[in-house]
Amino acid sequence: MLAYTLKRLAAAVPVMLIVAIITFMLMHIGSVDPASRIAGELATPEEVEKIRIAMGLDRPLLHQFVSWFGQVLSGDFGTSILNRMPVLDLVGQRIEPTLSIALFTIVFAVALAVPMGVLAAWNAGTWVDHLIMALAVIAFSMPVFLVGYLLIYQFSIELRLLPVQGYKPLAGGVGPYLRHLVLPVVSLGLVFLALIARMTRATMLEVLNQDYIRTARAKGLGNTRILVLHALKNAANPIVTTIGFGIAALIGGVVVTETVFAIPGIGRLTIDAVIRRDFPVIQGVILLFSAAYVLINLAIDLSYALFDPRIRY
Amino acid sequence: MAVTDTVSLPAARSTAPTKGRLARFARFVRRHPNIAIGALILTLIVACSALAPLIAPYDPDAINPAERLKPPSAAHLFGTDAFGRDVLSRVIWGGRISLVVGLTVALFSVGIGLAIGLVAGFSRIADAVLMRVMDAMMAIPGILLAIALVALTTASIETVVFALVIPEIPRVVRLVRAMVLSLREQPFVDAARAVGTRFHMILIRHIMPNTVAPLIVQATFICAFAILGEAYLSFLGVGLPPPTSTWGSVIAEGRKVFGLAVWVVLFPGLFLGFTVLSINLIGDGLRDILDPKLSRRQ
Repeated sequence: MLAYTLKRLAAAVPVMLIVAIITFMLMHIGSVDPASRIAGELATPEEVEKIRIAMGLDRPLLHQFVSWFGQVLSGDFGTSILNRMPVLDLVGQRIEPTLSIALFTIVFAVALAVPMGVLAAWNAGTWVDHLIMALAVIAFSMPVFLVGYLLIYQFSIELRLLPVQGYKPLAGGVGPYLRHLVLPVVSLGLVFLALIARMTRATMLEVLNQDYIRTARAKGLGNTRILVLHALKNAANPIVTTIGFGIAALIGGVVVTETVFAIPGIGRLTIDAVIRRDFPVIQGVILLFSAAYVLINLAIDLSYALFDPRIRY
Repeated sequence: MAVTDTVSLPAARSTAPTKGRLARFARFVRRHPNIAIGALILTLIVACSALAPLIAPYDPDAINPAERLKPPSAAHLFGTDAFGRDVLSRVIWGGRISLVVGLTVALFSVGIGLAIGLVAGFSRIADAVLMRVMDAMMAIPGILLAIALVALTTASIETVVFALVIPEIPRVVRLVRAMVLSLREQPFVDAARAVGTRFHMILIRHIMPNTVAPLIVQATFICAFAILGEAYLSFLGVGLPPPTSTWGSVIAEGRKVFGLAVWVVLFPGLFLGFTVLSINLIGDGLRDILDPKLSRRQ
């Protein structure tokens, strides 16, 4: 297990290196010159040139990449062009809302999607199955902002049950914190829910046709026991894999959700940085998100043995 | 995974020739209601967009301050926006860009992905390198990559398409590579090689045709995803610059007046959602035909 973990970690290194190269190149494919961007609109060509040399932007690309990547490895993601703050500090300030939305969304989606998928598979071909799958494909197709605005309209403007927009930190009390998270989590979670429900149904259909399920039934075990202990446990790995791959879509969705609900998270930070061409922040956020994605999927790979003792590393 | 050419339509085979086309069509609709519903919705939306100059009741960009933020009425079926522009006309026109972007992104992603996937499937050295690059591209959240690509270049329809194609490529490459790896071990490829068929002919005549059906399914999902992606970019303010209006940018403008005029966001959102839904329904239906095991097992 330890050897396998180390091997997988080692395999993640080239992937992250390529991510870093892509992220680094982003700054150079564009039509915007980083040096003149940093110098500001009023700078003279001489000042721009001075900054270019001071930043090392006149050196060969490979040279620049190595020194930039070296800094990143030592935990220095550079400073924002806009407000001169270290990128990591900026991210640190904004991480709480984004992490809260992401975690609650996963919990919300999984808690509903798995029972829905199991129910659909158990009743395959009946109206229950058709209804659940129809709802899933609709939830899968509706844009996050449409769902978000409709929820705001119904629950915040018409019924006045929940806050319209914004975010309250956990430090300010659990009540307001949760009340501000309900609508963002539901609107972001629907897509994720649909994805997992579809995968759960497909995998469960496969598993329910296996011989050991018939054996379990022949032994006289109850339906709940068969479904949960025999079927769901064997269906767990593909479902967990879907959750892992879905993380990338979830991160994209968080960006849109934060805009709809005016939440000051990393998504808003990224959009603001992109619009103002704040390169170090864009690079830092993309690197951190990608690293999170790689690590989460690594953890999921390692968790397979947990659900399926036949898998040994 | 269905990699062999099992695209057979039971409806076409089992119907007696005397029954005619209409009966066969009715039977197809009954067996694959999701394709039928999806195709119907999509046809309507495509027709609306194609006929925009004929059916849009107003000029989509005509500003009319006297009529601003009017709720839906007989004169303005979908109401008006903050500048008094007719939302229905803007929705009808806005679909054009969205649909073109979706289709173009699907074609390019599948084309490029197919080429890279074939190379990866046949060359071990290229495979090792290409697949690490694909892994890295998949690790970067697609929307973030697209946002950065558009924002750092100059936003135009080409850069938007480019930005949406890039994150889709790895998915196609993985699919094609997996298919090639299993196809190249098939007896018919050995047979072709044994009779002296040249490598590129094996690739074109024997391998590629077998990848078409799953790729078509994949292309429908990419198309749906790209239409959503374009809307997200416009919504976030990094899409096509004004005056071009797409569903995403109509919604983005409606955002500011949302509390007063829910219809400015609602109708373009519904058109967008139904377009994506219809394409997903068609994709699901096609996948069921290709892989009947998944849907009609019990």
